[in-house]
This record gives sequence, C-alpha cells and structure tokens, in this order.
Amino acid sequence: MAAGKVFQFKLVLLGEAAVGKSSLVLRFVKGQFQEFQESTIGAAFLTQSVCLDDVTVKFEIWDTAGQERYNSLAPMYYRGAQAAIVVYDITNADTLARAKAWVKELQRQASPNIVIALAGNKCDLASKRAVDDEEAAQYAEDNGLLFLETSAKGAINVNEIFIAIAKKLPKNTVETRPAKPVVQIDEPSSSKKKGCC
Amino acid sequence: MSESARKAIERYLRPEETVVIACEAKFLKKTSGKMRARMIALVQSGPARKRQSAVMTLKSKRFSQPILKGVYPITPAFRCKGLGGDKFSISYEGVASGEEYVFEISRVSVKEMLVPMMTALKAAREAGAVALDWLSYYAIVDQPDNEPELAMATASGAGPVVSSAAASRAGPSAGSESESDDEEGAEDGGDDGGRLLTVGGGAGSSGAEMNRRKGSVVSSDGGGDDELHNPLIGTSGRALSNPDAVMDIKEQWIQEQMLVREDEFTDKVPFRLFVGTWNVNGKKPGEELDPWLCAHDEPSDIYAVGFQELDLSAEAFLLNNTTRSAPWEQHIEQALSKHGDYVLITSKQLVGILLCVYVRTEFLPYISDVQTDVAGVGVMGVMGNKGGVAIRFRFHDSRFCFVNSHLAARMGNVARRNQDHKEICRRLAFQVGGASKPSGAGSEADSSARVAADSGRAYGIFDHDYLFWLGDLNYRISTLADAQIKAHVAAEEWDALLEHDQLMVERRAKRTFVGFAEGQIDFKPTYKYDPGTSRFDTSEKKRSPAWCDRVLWIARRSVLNQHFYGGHHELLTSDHKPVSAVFTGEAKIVVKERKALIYHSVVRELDQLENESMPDATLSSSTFDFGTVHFKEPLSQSLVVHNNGQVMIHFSFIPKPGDTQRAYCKPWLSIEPERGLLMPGKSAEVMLTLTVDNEWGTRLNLGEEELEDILILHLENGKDYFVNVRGEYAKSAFGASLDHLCRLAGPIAAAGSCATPDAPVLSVPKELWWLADYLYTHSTDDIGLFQESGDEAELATIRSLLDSGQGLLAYSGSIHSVAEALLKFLACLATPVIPFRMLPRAIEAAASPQAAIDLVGVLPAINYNVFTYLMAFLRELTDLSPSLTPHASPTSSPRYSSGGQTPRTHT
Repeated sequence: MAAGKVFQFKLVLLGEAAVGKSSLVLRFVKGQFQEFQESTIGAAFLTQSVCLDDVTVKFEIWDTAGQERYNSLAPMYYRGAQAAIVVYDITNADTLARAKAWVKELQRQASPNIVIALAGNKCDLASKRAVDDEEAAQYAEDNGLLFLETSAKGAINVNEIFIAIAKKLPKNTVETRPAKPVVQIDEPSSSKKKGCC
Repeated sequence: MSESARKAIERYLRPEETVVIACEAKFLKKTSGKMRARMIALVQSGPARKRQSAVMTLKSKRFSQPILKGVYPITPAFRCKGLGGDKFSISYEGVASGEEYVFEISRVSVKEMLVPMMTALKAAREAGAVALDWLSYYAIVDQPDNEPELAMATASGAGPVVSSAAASRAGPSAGSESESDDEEGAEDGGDDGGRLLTVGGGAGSSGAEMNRRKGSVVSSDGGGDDELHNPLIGTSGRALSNPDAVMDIKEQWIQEQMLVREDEFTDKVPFRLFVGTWNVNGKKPGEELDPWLCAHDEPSDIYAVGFQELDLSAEAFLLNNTTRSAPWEQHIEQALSKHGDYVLITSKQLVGILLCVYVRTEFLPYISDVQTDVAGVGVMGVMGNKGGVAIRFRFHDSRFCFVNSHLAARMGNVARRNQDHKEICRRLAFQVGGASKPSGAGSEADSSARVAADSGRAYGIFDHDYLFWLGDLNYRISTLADAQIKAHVAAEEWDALLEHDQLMVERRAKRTFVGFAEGQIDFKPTYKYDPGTSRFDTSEKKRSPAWCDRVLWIARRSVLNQHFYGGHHELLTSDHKPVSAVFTGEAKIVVKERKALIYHSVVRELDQLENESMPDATLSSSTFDFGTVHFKEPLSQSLVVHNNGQVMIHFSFIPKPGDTQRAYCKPWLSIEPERGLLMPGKSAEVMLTLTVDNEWGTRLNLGEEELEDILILHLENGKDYFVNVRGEYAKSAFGASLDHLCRLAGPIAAAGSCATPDAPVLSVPKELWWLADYLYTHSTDDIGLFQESGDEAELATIRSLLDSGQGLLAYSGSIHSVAEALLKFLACLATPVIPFRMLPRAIEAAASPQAAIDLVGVLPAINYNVFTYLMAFLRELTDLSPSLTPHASPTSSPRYSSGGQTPRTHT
C-alpha cells in the first residue's frame, strides 16, 4: 500500500532537438500530446510523482532545450540530478549518436550515482524505423542504462520509464540529497591526443 | 524610511490604527514528540494610536488558556526600521499532544496590506533608500478557505527577494518570551482581534506532523474603504532551503486529503458498544453485575468497563500495587458470559482506576494495535489516587480510545477538575507502531522520560476516530441547597438540576471537555448513597446528590449514535451507582486497492497544484537580431516579460557556464533592468542595448569575436528561458588598428578575416588619406576647420563611404563633419599613433626638440608613417588656413602632397 513517505529526485531530460523530450514530459505530467509541440528554448520545470508499493517518488523534472547551440548550458541542469532520461528518435540514427554523446558526458560530468535511462522515442513510427531496437538495448546494457522504446504520441512506455527510474533510485534520505557535481580535472581523450603530437 | 514610502503607507493606514502587515507562522512536530512553533509578525501603527501594544498568543484550540503569551510594545507613527514596522515573534517548544494550535494576535487589526506595501516598496525603491528584506516575511494570502492549496503555494512559490537576508533571519530571537509581560492582563473585550492562523495535527492523522499554513483575516474594525483585492502571492521560500521540511509538508497535505476522502476507500461494519463506569468505593465485588452489564436486551460487541476507587488502601496508593482487579474482572466475565463469548482485549490499572475492554471473541481477529497509558494527577500532581488510564486499539480500521478517569473531588474544586482533565489529555500518549508500554506507576517522570527517550512518534488520545471518556469526573451540582436538589430529584426535574451541573456549566463556557459530546441525562444522580442502599447520603458529611459518573465522547469523521445513557440503581455495593451508555457506530474497513487509487489521485492533484502554482512567464521573443551593428552606435531592443502564471515571479538574468566574472552577458551587451518582481498578469520591459566600443571593435574587425550571446532569464523556483542575441558587425576603419588597416588594399567592410595579407601593403591607411585629402582639397582659409562639430548623420555617411572603399569623392556634406571624422578615426584607433607604452617618453620629449626627434625615430614603422604624414598634412593645412595657427610661418613648410613623403620601408 502506498505509504506516506515521499522522496524527491531531480531528473533531467537530454537529447537532440525534436526527439520528443517535451512531449514525453507533457504525456507523463498531463497525459496529453501535441502534434506541434513548440521547441523548448530554455529549461522547463515541472513536477510529477510516481507511486510505488511502499513509497512515493516525486520527480522534479527539468526539460532542456535540445538545439546544439544550447549544449554548453546543459551542465546547469544535469548538475545535481539524480536521474536522467536521454532521448533519441528511432526514426533518426543521428539522434542516437547524439544520445550516446550525452550519456558519455553524464557519466563523466554528472553525479556519480546518477540513474540514466535511454528512451527511443517515436516508436509508433515503426515504418520509418532507422535504429534497431536490439542494438540500442545492447548499448544500454553495456553502459548500465535503463532502456525502453517509448511513444509520447501513443502513450507507450512513458509512465513505465519513469516508474523504472523511480524503482532504481535509492530511497533513503541521505542519498536523496543532490550529490555535488564531480569536477573532471583532466579529460582522458584530450590527454591521449597530447601524447602523440 | 523615505518620505515617499511613508506617504505610501500613510495612505492606507488610518492614524489611530495598527495593522499587521505581514506574518508568518511555522509549526514543526519533531520526531521526539515535541513540537516547535514560531510566529513572526510585522506591525505598523499610525501616529494617533494610543494603546501601544500588541498581544500575541499561542493556544491549543482545545483549551482557552494560552500556552505562551507575549505583550509587545508598538512604536507609534512609523518610528521603525525600513518598511518592516515593528517586528515581534514568539516561539515555543514543548510536548505535542496532537491537538490543534492557534496563533492569535490581538489589539491590532489584521488587514491585508500587500498592495499598499508593494506600492510603498516601489516608492521607497524609487527614493533609493530601503532594504528589501521585509519581503521575505511575506506570508499573507487572501484566501483563508483555500488552505491546502496555500500550503502548496508556500512550498513551491516564489522565493524570498533577498534570500540571504531571509536566511539570516531564519533564527529569530528566541528570547521573545522574556519580553512577555502579563501585567496587561487578559485581552480587552472590545479590542480588534484577529485570528490569524490555525494549525494542528488533525484528528487521526498520525502522520500529520508538520504543518505550515497561512491565512489572513480581513479588517475587523469596519474600515470598508480600505478593503483591497490582492493577487495570490507565493510566499517565503524559506522552507525550500530545507528539502526535508518541504517533503514533510507535502506528506502532511497528502495525509489530510486522504482523511477527507476516507469514505471513498472504506467499507463500513456496524458495531454495538457498551461503556460503563462505576466508583466502587473500595468495596470488593459481591453482587452480580448483570443489572448493569446485561441491562440491555441486545448484547454489545465491545464492552469498555471502568472502575474507580477499586482499592483505597495505603499500599495501593503508595505502591500502585493491588490485586483487587482480578475479582472484578471475574465478575465482569461472569456477567458477560450470559450474553455470549467475550474475551478481554486488555485491562489497565492505576491505583484504584481500572479499565477493562472486552470484545466478542469472534471479533478478536479484527482488533489490533492495542496500547495503554496512564497519567496520575493526584497528590503532588503525579500520584495515582486521581488520574486517568487509557486503552486504545484498532477495530478493523477504526481507531478507538477509551479513557477512564477519576478527577479531583469536593464541590469547590471545579477548576482543579478542569485542570486534571487537561493534564490527562496532555499526558496520555501512545507510540506510532509501538507495542504496549510496560505498565508503571504512571508518574510524570515516567511520562516525560518516555517522550524523551522514544524515537517513535507520539500521538495523543485525540488522534482517534472514536474517543470515549468515562469515569467519576466528580463534577457536582452547585449553587443549589441540598434540600432543593433533593426536591428536584424527587420530582425528577432533571433539567432544573442540570442547569447547575458543574460539568454542563464548564463545558458551555468551554473551560473543559471542549469538543466532547454527552447524551441527555434523564436519570437519577448516581452519587452519593449510603452503601448497601439506594438512600442518599445520610452520613455526617451529607454530600448532596450529583452526577459524578459520566460518559462523554468524540467521534471524528465516524458514525456514532447513543441508544442509552443511565444509572443502574439496583446495585447497592458502593456509595455510587454504576452508569452505562450504549452506542452503535460503523467501523471502517480500508479497501486497499481503492485506497491506492485514491492516494494516487491525491498525489497527482498535489503535482497539478504545484505545477499550476509554479512561476510562469512568456517572453516577447526568444531571439533578438540587431541586424547590422556599427561601431559605437548603440542599438536597443525591448524584451517584454509577461507574468502569465498564478504567482508573483522574481526574474533575473543568471550567468551561464563559461561566463566570466559572474557576468550574465557579453560586455558589448547591457541589460536594464537585470532583475525584477512581477505580479501575476503584469509585464515588464527589459531593454537590451548593444554597443561596440574600441576593444570589441578591434576584435570584431579581426574576426576574433562575433556578436552572439545567449542570455538565461531565470524565474526564481521555476524555469529558465534562453534569449538569443545576435548582430552583424559592420567592420569599420573606426575602431580598427593601423596595422590591420595598412594590410587591407580593399574596403574593410568586405574583408574576410583570413584574406588579410601577412605584410602591410599600404604605408598609411587609405581611409586616413581620404580624410586628409578631402580636408586639404576642400579647406579654405576662413573656414575654422576643427573648430566646429560635425553632423551625426554626415559622420555616419562618411564612415560608410570609407568602410565601403568609395572614398569621399561623392561626399556632399559639411567639411566640419569630415574634420570630426578624422579626429574620431584617430581617437578610436585600437592603439594610438603614439602607442600607449611610449606615452611617458612622449611627455618627457616635449621638453627637448632632439628628444622628440629621437622618439619619432623609434616609432613602429606604420606609426612613424602615419605620424609623419599627419604632421605634413597639418603643416600644409596651416599654410592654407592661417587662421588655424596664426603664428605659423607659411614658408617654412613644404607643400603637402599625397605620397610626397618617402615612406619608411617595413622591415
């Protein structure tokens, strides 16, 4: 039975522009879908809870702008986040590449215990599929990510992905505090380059 | 305070009036079972206010006597700091007994002052004089009926304007108690009082441990024209600084909503309940109890049977050690066996006070969470000769609590009885999820040790669906002579007697048993008889008859009907007659699946409320393209921020990663204002101004930088908006470097950043040549060159002609504009003709011609060329216009010609 304890977590959505981040949030928070969702220019903030068997997990959701020019601002929003949903569009293989880059950045720069979920959105558009779901699943498994193909339009797996994250998040008061951002002093990739020049 | 701010307040405050302009209260129930409460109020009074004090009290809703009271002097006539008025606070820490608490402020009128204060603030800010930190106290909202929503608005609303100030004030002086001054006595009846806040651990909400609500009350002294409509305002964000506290508030709200919707997820099971009380006067059981326990045809499902004065021995009194309960329990069981199979849930004894609860055996599986507690309030306030015992349990999902008490005796001890009742209420407590506590003497030491030591949360007797209070409460019939009483009894004129019944009188005055119900008394007083008879007391003491033995109850959100209330005069053992009351009610059964669904919808509702009360805004545009931007020609565009949310917003531009020195934009951009407050529905205009100065002109000319920036407009406790700013810089000779210009054969406007050759191709910038040539060819001797200023539009034309490489052949404007353009060209050079590093030497060189010649000799090649060129030009010019330099010798200067000098070659 749903008990009284409520845990609050910060969750950030990342991914290429137009993969459906805002639509996923709109579907999850309001149960709605808009065919022509405005492009997010900024970082929208909403809250929504998931009731598990014994606790309630309340997400403080930051939906970020996907356009490339705003990439440098993303750390403001994933800093201190305990969870992230990295979204790609199954009809566009490039967006998976971008998603992988986000995962890499999160693993390097975000809180060490961050729970990351990979969402292959627009799975209602099966005929236009450009990303093999098994390939994405394998990538997710290799990187310790939760993975679901979702559809904000078809309301497929949207609540499920949030519930999966909620279940995976640690539920004790000490760890629900936002972890301090990890400052990466030297980046492995660039130091390698220095070696061969 | 500034004069304008004062005036703004005066407009809303009548001279004789004192108003609360802001208040904030906070309740925190700690896990140790203690609670902490604090209230802060800001009060402002008019100059003609006579009675200069305010009273602030913290009360339990149940008891009229304040737990804490403070009398505060009020400064008349605005002799106060900032806009805040007089600030005072009370704070309290003590045992929480699960009651509802009320903060009150009296002797002042409580009035919504938001709008006038905002006006005053604005005026004060314009006067540039006032600290803003009072805003963090803004806690007043104008919809008291809307409390749960408000609680949420609080939790997620706009933050404090000056958060650091709020934080530093978060621990206000706890010494306010010392300011208390009770000399002023009770509150004057005629005063304007206002109830501000009520908060509490409502009924069964065992989890309801923290609360924080706000409400405001309209003016109570009829100042009709002062009524103001105020927008709903999110309040202090202080709670946000403590995430645990916020979550507690949210959990609390969810619990409250669940209680409200309890019917939707509970099934009901009818039950029948017998409650009996008998003061047995120390006698041992002899008679059968059937006439009392089995007086009712229909057997009850639950029997709660209480005794007082079970054992009057000194041993029992001093050691709380008695074996007398067993025979009484046997007697009860004997009687009940005639009705069916019953089993004792538990019994609890404190000296002579015994409480036993039996339930029909078949219902035993539905009984859970059985706990007991005792509270002695007898001799020394702790001994068990007077006091109460309590048994609580859950039957299905309804929570029952029974209290059997024996209150102070004697006719005149009414206040003492009230006090005993209050003490017992306060002291009886149970632990959440706790097993039955070991029975003890029930002393105060025991109780307080328990409260302090137990980590589980405590809850009180009022945190139950059903609370029954039975016992020898000892309230008498006062103000009537014994004979009168007996005459009324003989005539069965109960109402005439009940008018003088102390319990009735005290309850009507809300001095005791507040919130309890009692059935109609239409039976003979149960006290005092000669033992063994049904004859009223004939002893020396001649106690008058009274209804000492009573049953009262509180049913919270639960069905309860009383079917019988009366005495049983057949029993003769004691000097009291036993009393019984029979009830029917409905026990709740929680349907878990339904409860889960409703819980889910309540949580969703909370989310929705939070999302709706989040700050929200629209921007007139997210992209500002300034088009072509010219050197030192400021361009402005306005960004309109509109508050389309339901709460006040506090917006500000914030730095982004990579922004240096905490700047929120590039240096070529300025934003005014960079932050602001907006009420719902209002808009603010923010001016974005782009200016390219010398430094940035050079970098933009070289292509090192571009006019592009992203601003982040942040709403406090809410979302961020990105604002793109861009412009196309028109590369210009103005603001360029000599070196750069000398490398460009073609027009600068067309120069790509990579097309610049490595070495200079010109000895002096062509733009300089064009300007000088124009002046030389167009100057006449009486024109007063360099003495008149040019025309802005013409200057722009000149710059455009130069930058596009057209030269000034087509120029048709005033020569003075050209002269000024030359000066500006030189003034705006990234590095002056005499470079900065050589300036000190140049100043020294002014003393000797040879030093000057030496200096010129060491100038960088291009600078040397430009210097020489300019000198030659000026000489030619003075030849032409003697008015410029009256003492110059025209013959000493060679004629100027373009290319007449031999440029130094570049090495």
